[in-house]
Amino acid sequence: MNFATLLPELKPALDALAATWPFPLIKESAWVMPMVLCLHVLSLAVLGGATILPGLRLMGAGMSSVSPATIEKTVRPWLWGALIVLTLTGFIMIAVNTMKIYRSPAFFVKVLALIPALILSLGVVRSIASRDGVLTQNARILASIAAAIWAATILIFATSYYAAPGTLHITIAGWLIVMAFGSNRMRIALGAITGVIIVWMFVMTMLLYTPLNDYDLVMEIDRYTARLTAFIVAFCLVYEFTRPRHDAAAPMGNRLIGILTILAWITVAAAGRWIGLGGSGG
Amino acid sequence: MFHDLLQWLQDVPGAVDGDPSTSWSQTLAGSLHLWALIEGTHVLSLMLFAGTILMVDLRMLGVAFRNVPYSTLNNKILPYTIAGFALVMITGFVLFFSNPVHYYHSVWFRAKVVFIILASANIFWFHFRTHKTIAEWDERPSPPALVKLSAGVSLASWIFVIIFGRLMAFVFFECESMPPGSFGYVFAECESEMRAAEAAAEEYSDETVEEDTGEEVIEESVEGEETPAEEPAEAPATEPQE
Repeated sequence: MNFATLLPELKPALDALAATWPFPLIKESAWVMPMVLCLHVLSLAVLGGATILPGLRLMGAGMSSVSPATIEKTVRPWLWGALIVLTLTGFIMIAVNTMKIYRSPAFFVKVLALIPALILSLGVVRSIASRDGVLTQNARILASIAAAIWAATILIFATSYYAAPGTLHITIAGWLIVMAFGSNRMRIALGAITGVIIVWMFVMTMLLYTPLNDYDLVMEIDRYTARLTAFIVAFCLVYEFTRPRHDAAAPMGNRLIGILTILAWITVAAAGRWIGLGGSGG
Repeated sequence: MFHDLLQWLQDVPGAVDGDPSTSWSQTLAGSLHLWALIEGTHVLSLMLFAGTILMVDLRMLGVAFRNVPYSTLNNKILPYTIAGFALVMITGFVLFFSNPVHYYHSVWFRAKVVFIILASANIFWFHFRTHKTIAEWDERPSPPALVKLSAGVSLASWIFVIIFGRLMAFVFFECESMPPGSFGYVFAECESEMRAAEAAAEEYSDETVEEDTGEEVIEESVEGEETPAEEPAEAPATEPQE
């Protein structure tokens, strides 16, 4: 799925944008685009700090002795600054590569993933933080909407032929969250399952079959193993962070919203990275 | 200095019947998704590593979290920074392994390493000198000048590390395009790279002459001397990547 198939009427406008000053000059310049890309990556790092810190706090981790309001208020200007620079540099990147972006399934996923990420960071997290950890009914509804859109985004991401491998970044992030914050029993279980999956992949795709001889079969094994792994990690995350824990440093709803906020922004960044890595077909 | 060792690393380990294209390094570089996944993880890990170190540095500069004791960030956020750093370093080493000779002679890679060393030296300096006085300034909204200096050096170093890392994807200042004797040429040890490229071209020329001594073949081998010994690690300058 991409914008070219969903909105074909956009093409003339994009062609006009590509021909508008100064974008043809930027495209021809050897230095401007690399500088724009550098700014984009630097802003991504700032965005990371500005979203991970409040996310961790809602999970009851990180600076748990500092109020959520203080953390959210402190990172807010950095979040906005990063979003503004990312939008400006992103717009330039679109304007000088209109057709590639237009046809890119990863770009479509990125735009979709931005919706829950923005709802969570600018709406839900801010609401919880300003009430010092209290999750209101409105924020709960907003978070549920964001979760539903995020789930749909993941589904589109995972079924996109060119960009699908990018979903592994989200699985890895979820895996790291379970390993960092889960109970010891869960860590051991997930670690053991991961070991089995690695051995399974090695035997199936390097010893029994190889991409050179059985390309389609190996791709199918890759695909289904990646999906199974994602389901296992999702199960571990939900089980670990919804079950009652006497040592829980934050309410269940806040814990889930903290995790979801971090994963939503990782989805945006992963899809963005796969615009370049995953080609522009589809 | 290490050109030959890295050429060996790129061509020999894992090679089947001495064929360099089947070595582990080149198999990783040519993999369908694995290289891209590792590269993507490398970039995304920056969100954790650089994002959290930015917040700690801003506190040291007295710009953010002014009313939160520095020790809170040091104890509660720095562990995440270290975890992010571990991820960045592990994926970085694997990426280097996928094309070691190219990266070794990359001006950007070398500049990046210089700033990683500078940032590391700054961490040691801060830890062994300034950090000892933490009790004196822990709760002060604006820490002393030396603490701010360390935070400034840290921020500037990591910004340059990220910029040079991103520029590694572009084919500026490759050994083939820099004038011999120029700063970039010497800095990237291009002498050994070009010598190896010439030797490879001569070897190729000899092989083709042995196989078929026609005029056209000799012309092709001469052109081969101008061909870069290594392909760029990533796409050309206009590739939109984040």
